[in-house]
Amino acid sequence: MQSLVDCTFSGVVGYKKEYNDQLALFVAKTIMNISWFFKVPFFIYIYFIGFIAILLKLKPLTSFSSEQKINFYNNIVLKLPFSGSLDKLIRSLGFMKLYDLAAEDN
Amino acid sequence: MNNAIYQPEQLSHNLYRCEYLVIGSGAGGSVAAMELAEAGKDVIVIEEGFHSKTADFTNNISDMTQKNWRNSGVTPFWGKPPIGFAEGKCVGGSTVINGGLLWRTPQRMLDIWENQYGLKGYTNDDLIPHFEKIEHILNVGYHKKDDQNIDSDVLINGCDNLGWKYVPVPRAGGKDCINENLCPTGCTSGAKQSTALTYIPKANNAGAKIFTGCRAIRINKHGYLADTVKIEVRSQGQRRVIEIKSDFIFLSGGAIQTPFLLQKSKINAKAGKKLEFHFNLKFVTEFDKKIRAQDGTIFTVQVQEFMDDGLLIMASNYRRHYLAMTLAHFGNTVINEVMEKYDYCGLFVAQVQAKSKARIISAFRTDPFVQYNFDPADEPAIKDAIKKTVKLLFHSGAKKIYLPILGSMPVTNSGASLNKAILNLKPKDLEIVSVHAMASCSIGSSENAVTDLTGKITGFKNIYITDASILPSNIGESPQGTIMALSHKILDKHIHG
Repeated sequence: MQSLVDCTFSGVVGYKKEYNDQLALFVAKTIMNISWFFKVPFFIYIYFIGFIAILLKLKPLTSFSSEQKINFYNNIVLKLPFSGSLDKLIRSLGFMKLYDLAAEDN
Repeated sequence: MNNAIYQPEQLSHNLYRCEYLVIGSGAGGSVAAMELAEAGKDVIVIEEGFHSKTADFTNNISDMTQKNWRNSGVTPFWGKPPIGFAEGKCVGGSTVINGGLLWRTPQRMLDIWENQYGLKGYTNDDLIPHFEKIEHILNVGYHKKDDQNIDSDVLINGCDNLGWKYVPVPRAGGKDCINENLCPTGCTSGAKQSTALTYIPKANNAGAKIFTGCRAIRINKHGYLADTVKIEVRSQGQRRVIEIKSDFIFLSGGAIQTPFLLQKSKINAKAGKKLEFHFNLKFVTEFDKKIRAQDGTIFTVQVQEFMDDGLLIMASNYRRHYLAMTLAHFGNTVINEVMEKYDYCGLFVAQVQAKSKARIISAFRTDPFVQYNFDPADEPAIKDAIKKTVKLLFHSGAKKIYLPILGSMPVTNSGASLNKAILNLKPKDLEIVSVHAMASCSIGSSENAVTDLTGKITGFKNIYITDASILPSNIGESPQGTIMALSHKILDKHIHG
């Protein structure tokens, strides 16, 4: 989840690497709270993405460099079926948390 | 008051008894609780969420959303496109997290309901005394004139330029609003008069008990009578089941949870077969001048020129969070550009009275699954809504508008670029949210009605419904006033005959 959040928010003005854990935790916690028939497919999908990363690069997504992560996300993940829904969910929830963290920082 | 609001850990018994059990504490449930308690009845209200005092609300939007919204606002309606639906889950229900709009039921809807759904005895004259009571208790009024709601003021200019009709919006506690701009996460000033600040305390003072963290999971029945309700109590990660035995049950869990409970309990086969809702389309709009929409409240005027066609246009709560979430379907470059122009932008909504209908599926047992089919008749209505909203915004001084369409380019005029976006529009590419669901257990005397004219579920002697699900059809405006007025009317009939 941390890697997906990093891919999604890298480049957003106001996003800092140190927010990553809190954003990922917020998104994961929110998904954990939704109905099982939505959260189970979401988590399977997230693990599936991690599996593809290992297949393609022979290393886990967490050990990709930032640039590799972004390239992988834009060129592979966003072309997978249903990735739009996952992307929108992570972005919507992440943005909600991001600007609270930024406000706390200020 | 708080002595009568019970935390889950205070519920030590396995069985409670009362005369009246009210399930849900939102717009409808709070009316039932207050009216019954003030009539001297022994009342327990169960609420799935928790209670917050005004001092508990903060401007931390993510925390407040997680605390007071069902599923942190992630309740999808499954269909093409998927729709994000949001409702409250706290003492006071959605009245805590809405804009506090309190409209009387439009005459055209009352006529339709009487003529097509057999809703006799709910005319304007019948409902006026109830609306007067609601408006008094909720201190309904209009926002005082100030210079902080420029996003609404620009719409007034646009309407004046086009000769379109707009009206000031009556809101619960609207006169005392100090533009905290936190309506969707709980009013931090206490100006907004949710039912948690009004009806629930009155119910408490009259003796009603509120059990929080409690979710009804099944109604046990014997013949034509509901007997006990099984309740799941959630406390600090632990779950246990208790039962409440009551003479009467008032269901007020909202348009999705109420039919879900009825389906699971095999009470009524028609419940939840149909659910109606509004489409909300959001437009991020950049102006030449600073409008600082973050300094104002949700909105102070509503454009009602096309209300009879099912279209309303208004501003919306504006913060960086909501702005970015609205633009989530655009790339980060667009979001960065818009954030740089934060003071120059506003967020506007076109609310469309959808013809599409959903249904509630209880097969997954633990939670309702809401599935809808996009009605082809909604496509021209949405295209028309986008065109009209864009036209109004450009006449209001807009420079650039980001449309709620996946993959669209921002439009800079209501000519070629808009026409291109509309021409290529496919329903699956729309970005739609909804905050109003209703009509899943209609009241009336038509064959599809779930309750009779007294609000009692057909075939049962002691189960009533008072929430958004009893509206006979999609109302086309914020339904809180109508939900409360119908609930008052049902309670009036029940208590006084």
